[in-house]
Amino acid sequence: MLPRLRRFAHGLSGNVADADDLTQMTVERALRARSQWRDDTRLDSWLYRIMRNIWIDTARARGRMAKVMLPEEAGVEVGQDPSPGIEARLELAQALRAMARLPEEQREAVALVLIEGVGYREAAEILDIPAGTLSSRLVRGRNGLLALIGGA
Amino acid sequence: MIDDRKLLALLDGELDAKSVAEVQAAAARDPSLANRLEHHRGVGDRLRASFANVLDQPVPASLAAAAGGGGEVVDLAAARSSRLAGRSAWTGYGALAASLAAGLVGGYVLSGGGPGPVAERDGSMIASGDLGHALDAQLASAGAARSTVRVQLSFRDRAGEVCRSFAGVAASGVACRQGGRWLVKGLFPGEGEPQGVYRVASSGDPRVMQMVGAMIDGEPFNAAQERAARAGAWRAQSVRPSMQGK
Repeated sequence: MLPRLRRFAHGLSGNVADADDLTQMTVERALRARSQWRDDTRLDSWLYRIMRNIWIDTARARGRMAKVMLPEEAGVEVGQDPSPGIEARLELAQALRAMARLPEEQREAVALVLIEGVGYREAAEILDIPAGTLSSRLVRGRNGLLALIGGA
Repeated sequence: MIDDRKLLALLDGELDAKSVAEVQAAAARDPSLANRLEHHRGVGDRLRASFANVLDQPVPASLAAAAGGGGEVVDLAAARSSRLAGRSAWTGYGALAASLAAGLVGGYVLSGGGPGPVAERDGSMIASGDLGHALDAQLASAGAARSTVRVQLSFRDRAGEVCRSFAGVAASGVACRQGGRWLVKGLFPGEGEPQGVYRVASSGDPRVMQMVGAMIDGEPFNAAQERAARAGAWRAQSVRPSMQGK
């Protein structure tokens, strides 16, 4: 579950720097709040929800709900790391950059459905929005991505 | 007219059969629609492939440690007793931490949909994948081969079941043979060392050793006993062996 949480953290935040902090905070909060996890709730949905709430708080606190600085940051990240898998990192960095350009509400929908593979109903519940809203955010987010990384 | 919602719902597997047929028929008639569908499919595939790289990265040690509860014992027996006391084991600390850590044994994540080292069956944590194989086959006395998991000690617990302690880069623990499966009795965060390089720890994780100490009946198996136990498929012994019996 931890690797998938990390992936969602990357998708949600759109940057490497925040992803591990976000994952750690989520794990800690989940363990503290473990009594609130009910048997009839899927563990992954519960964790996604916790992470998303933490991210909203964090992003709001930073006052960058709408605008995420990024390009240089991701570029530096790639340049600094000579470890194996540079290509993989480069690829990820590009995807992160594209995600980071999306408005927050579109990014979270895309991250859940497109990257995490969560179904529409489950995703709408996690995000606390009606199914129709989810669907239209997905359309806008994916058209945005199409413009950013599509066509290849 | 097929709108984007419907088009994308097709890609997400969210359409019923009738709508799927409708979109496909429309795409067959309209090349620009088919083209749009392919582009969107490409974006999704590309995004998923890029983010899959995250799954292949080692989980930072601090994170693995946090998931393991910062050293708090992940003891499924405790989870079970809390369930008996009226709480679900799945709200217990141990089970949650074990689920979080599942997929981590060996430091590197066994991802890509492959079987993780710990699976949940009927509310129990069962060793699977590499961990299951190691517990089935590895002889502690033979030393570790190139496995992601090293079996440290084999012993019998007070119920006569064969139990084995194991160590991996990101997690170690104890599992016992029950009903032909390895029930994970405890799981602790490991050293978080990358690349599967083992530090040769003669003593092992003190928490694991403590757990073994609390469970063990008699002494750990020697090499011959361990081989015999493996030959016997790690079956439990309901009656204590009485080699010097009458």
